[in-house]
Amino acid sequence: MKKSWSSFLYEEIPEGGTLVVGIPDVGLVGPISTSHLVKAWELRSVGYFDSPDLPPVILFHDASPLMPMRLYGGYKGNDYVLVLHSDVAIPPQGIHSLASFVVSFTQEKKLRRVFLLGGIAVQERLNIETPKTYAVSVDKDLLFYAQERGVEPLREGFIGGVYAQILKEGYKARVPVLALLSECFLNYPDPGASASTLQAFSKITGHSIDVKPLLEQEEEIRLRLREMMKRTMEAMRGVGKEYEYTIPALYV
Amino acid sequence: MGEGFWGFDEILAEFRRIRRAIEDFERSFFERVFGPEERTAVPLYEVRRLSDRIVVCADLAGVRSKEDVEISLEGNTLRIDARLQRRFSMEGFAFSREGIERYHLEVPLPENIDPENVRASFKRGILEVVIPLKQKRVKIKVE
Repeated sequence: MKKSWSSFLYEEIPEGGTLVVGIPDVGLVGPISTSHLVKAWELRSVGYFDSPDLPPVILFHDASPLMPMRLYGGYKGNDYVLVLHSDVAIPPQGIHSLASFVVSFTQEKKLRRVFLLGGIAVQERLNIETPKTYAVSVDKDLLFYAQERGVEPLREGFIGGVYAQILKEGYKARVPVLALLSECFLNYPDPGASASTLQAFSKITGHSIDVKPLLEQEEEIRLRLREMMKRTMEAMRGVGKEYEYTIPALYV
Repeated sequence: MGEGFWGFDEILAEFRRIRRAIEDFERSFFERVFGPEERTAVPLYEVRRLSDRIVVCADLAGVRSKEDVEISLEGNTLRIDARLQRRFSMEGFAFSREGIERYHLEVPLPENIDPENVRASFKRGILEVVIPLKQKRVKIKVE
């Protein structure tokens, strides 16, 4: 596959760390989670990913430039955590190349495992007080590890979109990838689901994360991210999410 | 005026057409974000059509209580207006210096709605309006 992605690092990434990914998708659960994680664990900016497949945008914060897909890193105890946070949804034509790039980057930097933080849209979300989180993995050991720490595996069904492709690439390259997907709204930003995802992540890594601010500012976050949610919904057309509501033919 | 040349009126009409097209573009571009009036936003919403009803959900984040939400049916259009608890503005963002104070949404509905039995609920900032559909049912015998 044509290599259309590049990484730019401000510092060396230590070997053996964990890559944590938050990319806009249903309920924006991924970027809300990684944004909160970066703040809560005081991770610092260590680089970014770029590609001609990304929309031609650059952000400014306090008049300083920020790339839309950034890397943050730092130690939590003895564990090095590298966060890949994206403020833009990945257009369908960029999904395959990004997924193989994430996996080859993981191998090249000798990272130990990859966590994908996200959501799984459910119709009755409004009536769910605390969303349940499911673990999905291409690595039996990692899934068992998550299960042992109280995160239930997703037993049946399709996963679609960018995380599905990263899971596929991880499977092919034998890179341990685990997705933590919480029940969420399809097209409203869902900080409550992000709180559940982060709590599951905390159980697996053994490092605590205070999710109270996410729950307390739930409506404020929804208000802030409404435009990002609209852009994400537009980008999500044709990325395979519709398969998540489909029963596969293997049940025939 | 010979063939191939435009008269003054035609040029003026063409200018008006271009101006209308630009105004339409601006309106369609900004209304997706800000709604038709100042400080008004179109909420995130979804419309689910089921066999016997239509369910309209709208994210009215920032609206405190159901008393701040107005719902009406005007012909076959559902109108939702809601007032935020306080004006929401993002400091430093040039595109929205005024911020938003209200939500406004209009959803076109089919002819066969049952306006007498529309129900609405408001929970955690999310409004759900259920509009039943009047159904003419004719039983057909399978031979």
